[in-house]
Amino acid sequence: MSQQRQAWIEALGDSLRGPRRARQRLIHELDAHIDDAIAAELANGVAREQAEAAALARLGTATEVGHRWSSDVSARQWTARARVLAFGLVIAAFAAPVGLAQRSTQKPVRHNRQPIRQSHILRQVERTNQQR
Amino acid sequence: MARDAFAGHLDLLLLAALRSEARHGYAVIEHMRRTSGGRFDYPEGTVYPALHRLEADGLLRSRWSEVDGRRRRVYELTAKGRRALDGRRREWELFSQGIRSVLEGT
Repeated sequence: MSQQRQAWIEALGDSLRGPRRARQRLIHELDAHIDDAIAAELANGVAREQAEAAALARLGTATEVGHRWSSDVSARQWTARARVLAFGLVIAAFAAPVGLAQRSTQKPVRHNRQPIRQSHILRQVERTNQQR
Repeated sequence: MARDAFAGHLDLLLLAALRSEARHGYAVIEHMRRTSGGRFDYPEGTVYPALHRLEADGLLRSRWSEVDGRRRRVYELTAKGRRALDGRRREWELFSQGIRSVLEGT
């Protein structure tokens, strides 16, 4: 692979943001495209070096391709996150009233422990004071 | 055709290029070049992000395939893609009729 082609592919790889497998697929497709474009130029009698230069020129800049792809991927990822969030909110909106209704129909919990009788304690204190 | 105008119709052109048969990216571009008489001026690399986006939207599906002894990602229209193509084509025809009527009107 020539330096020019290598540089184009590397610049593309550097500008891609997204899942690794999807990035590799795009790089493979564009590499195959360059092969086809060079073959077409060679078939027209163009010299190898010029054929490769023409193929790369027709592709456009690697960063333009990479940024366009990455921005589409990013938009799809945000849409997916928004969908998950919206789904969660819908579930919460349905679950919250059901939970509140269940709570209101439950009988209050009775504690076995007897409440402290304040008057009884006070009487004991008074008795102690009188004994003094 | 100016790049901006072309970009605005890229999805429709890609769907149309895949209407008759499945094609890989380079073949799609060659088909558009041949059928348009080379009228479109655009960076060919930008076709691939568009193909990926149409696939993510469910309008295309793709698979790896051996073409002339080389591994290529081949795209084809889904049923949803065919419906989208029909709808966008109708929209384009109405739009172009409108433009023509205005241009030819008095």
